[in-house]
Amino acid sequence: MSTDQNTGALEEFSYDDSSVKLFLHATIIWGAVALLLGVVIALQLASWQFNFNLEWFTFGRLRPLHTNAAVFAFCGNAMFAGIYYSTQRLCKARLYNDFLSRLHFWGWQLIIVAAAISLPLGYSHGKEYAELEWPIDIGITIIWVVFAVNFFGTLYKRREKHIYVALWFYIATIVTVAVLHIVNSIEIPISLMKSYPVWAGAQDALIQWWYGHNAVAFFLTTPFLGLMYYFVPKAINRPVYSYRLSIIHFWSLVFIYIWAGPHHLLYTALPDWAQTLGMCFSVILWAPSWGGMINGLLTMRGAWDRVRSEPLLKFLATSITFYGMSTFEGPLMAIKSVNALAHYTDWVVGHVHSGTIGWNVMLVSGILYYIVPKIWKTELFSQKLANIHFWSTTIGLVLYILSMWTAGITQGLMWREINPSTGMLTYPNFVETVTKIIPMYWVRAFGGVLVLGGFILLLINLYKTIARAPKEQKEEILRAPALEKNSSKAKGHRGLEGLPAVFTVLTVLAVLVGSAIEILPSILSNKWIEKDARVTPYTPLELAGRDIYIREGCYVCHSQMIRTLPHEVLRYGPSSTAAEFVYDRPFQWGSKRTGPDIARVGGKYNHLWHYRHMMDPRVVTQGSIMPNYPWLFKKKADLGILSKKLAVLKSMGVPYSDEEIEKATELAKTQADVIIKELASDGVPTNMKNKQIIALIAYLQRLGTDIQQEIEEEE
Amino acid sequence: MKQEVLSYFQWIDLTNFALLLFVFLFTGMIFWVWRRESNKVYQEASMLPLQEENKL
Ligand code: HEC
Repeated sequence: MSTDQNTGALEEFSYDDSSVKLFLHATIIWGAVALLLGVVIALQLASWQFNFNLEWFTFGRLRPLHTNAAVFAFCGNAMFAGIYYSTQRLCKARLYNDFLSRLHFWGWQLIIVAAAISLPLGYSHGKEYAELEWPIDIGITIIWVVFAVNFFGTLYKRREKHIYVALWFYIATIVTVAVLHIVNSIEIPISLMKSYPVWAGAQDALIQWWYGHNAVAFFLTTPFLGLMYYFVPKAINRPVYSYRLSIIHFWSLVFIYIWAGPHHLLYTALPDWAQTLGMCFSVILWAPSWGGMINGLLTMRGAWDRVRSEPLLKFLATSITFYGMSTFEGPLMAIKSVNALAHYTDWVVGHVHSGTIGWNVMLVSGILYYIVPKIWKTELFSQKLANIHFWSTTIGLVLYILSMWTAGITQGLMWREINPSTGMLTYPNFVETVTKIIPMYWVRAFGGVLVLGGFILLLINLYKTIARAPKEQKEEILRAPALEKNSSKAKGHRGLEGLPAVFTVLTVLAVLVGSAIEILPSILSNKWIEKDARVTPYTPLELAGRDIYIREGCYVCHSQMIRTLPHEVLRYGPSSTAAEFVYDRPFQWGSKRTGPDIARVGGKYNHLWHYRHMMDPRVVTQGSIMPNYPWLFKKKADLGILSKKLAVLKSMGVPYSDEEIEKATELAKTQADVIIKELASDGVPTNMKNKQIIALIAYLQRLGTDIQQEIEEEE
Repeated sequence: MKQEVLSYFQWIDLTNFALLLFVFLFTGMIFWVWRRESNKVYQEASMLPLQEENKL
């Protein structure tokens, strides 16, 4: 078709497939690593011994590593490989700049390695999927810009008039991820690997989940939909079912997705209107998602006989099906009354994995089986292995989802069960609801092993494929007519050349509407949160303890947000209010209760209880699955840096006096003395007083007390 | 708290306006996308992934 719209002068060019190959290698290797980490942390929940009492190996630190590896290392590299492969072909142009392609590749791997080292060491923001500390955040920004320049440069150089729908999805990905990452990562450094966000409390929560949900939307969904729109037609050699539907799919998705973030915060201290808005848009989101799914599946119509025999197509068909299944489950779980049951439970974990394994891993596996033989100019080593991989992944995933549904719904029901004759909780002891679901954790871990095992087969299969590829891999010279630049139709063409720019602007607008309406009131209105005079900033020692809490990733198992539900008030005390968190940087509301909520744990136990609990939780709570934290009893707390921390917080509006800032270290020591004195009377040696455990106890004992004290006084 | 935040949106008709705007945007888009004239364009565009490169 291009011939009739072009001058006809053929230009010679070639594709930069060597960069694509690098990203493909990275996808395969990081994919295996991410799944292996998943199996490890699944085992850690089934049996706490798998934490091995090793500081850098505990669940709280490995879980962020698993999510980062899965999202940014595996899906990231897969996305880049697929985007670079398809963009060159859709644009009939080589990637804009070879150096930028390499910089993009090596820069991204460096970021991943930095994450793989810093997360186990405990350098973390304590915000999910945004854990990486500020120097790495800056690295991500730079490399993302490199990617953007390289991508838009390729679009600019293109020899094809139309910008195919897949490219639209890529454009949306690039601009939106940039916006999300930058806004959510605005932070002020304390030291090389520590910073505090400028956002605090409920506002931080809102922005984090606006980011978090849209990381799912624009990192795990839109780029992969783009890949679907390219690779599914390619693999079955027929065009997409309805190009029109794909346009509707694109615009509705981009416009609606961005509003849905608050469904992570239903029944919390977030203002009601924001919760309801998030819920409504989440339910609406069902429509475009299914539009896309139907479009994908109908594209495969007429090729179903081949689906039975070709593993590649099995992966593609299954991935689209799981896209449909998880985009149905998501809106369902976003309905407030369903969410009341599902939130904080393993149901959410199951939902996430039906998306990430069912949609992302399946789709990427299919794409890998398509691209690798093609780009290395050979045949796939073994269809049979690919077939076993498919069944292993599918069975593993089904086990995963079923066990997490069972665990999540069981636990959710146990939490809310109230004995009608006494009006008390039927299961007041939290750990009862944990031990009940341990068998499901084993099933999940087994499912994970099957998924991992399948992926290892992919790895073997693809490296055998690559091994038998012809050694000489020369770049083919291709020819295509140039897009005419100075013809009589210049006006029309000018418009066309401007199209990617217009397009990008429209996409940004679509994304910004929802963002602005949800987030701006929290920034502009001082009435957004009702202040509470009883709430005061953390003392220096408590702050040190809080940073230990963040470092250990306690938030991956503990929430600090009592929802406005009767059974939660019965179990944990009065519902949390936004005013209680105004000094929380970052917020630590959490999203999963593997352990109980601890928003009001302060004063619930004495110091000695915490001391023994942190050393070995099973000493005080039979059947606990919380890890041991022996190193907190050996390492000294870093109190020297407290003045600096307080000063930075003050610069963001926390009312510390100059004296407090100056004497922060002494104040902390004085408070530690008080705690150790009580502990010493129970036989704890006084030389423990400068250890990290003391700071952590100070923090835990503070939680929720600001408001409790007043209530007691009133009584 | 809810009331106070809502007082921010003092113009009650704002929500109605937004609803109408979105509905019109959406239906408008459907009509625009399903225009007859664009048959050919979409037909061509949807074939893009299937084109094979001209080798030298
Ligand atoms: C693997 C998940 C997990 C991690 C990580 C974890 N906990 Fe726990 N935590 C639990 C479970 C399960 C319980 C309930 C059983 C028990 O009391 O040990 C619990 C209980 C607690 C309790 C008692 C709460 C109450 O009201 O009885 C405190 C306090 C606590 N954890 C603090 C921490 C701190 C501090 C960290 C981080 C250093 C942490 N936890 C990390 C799972 C975890």
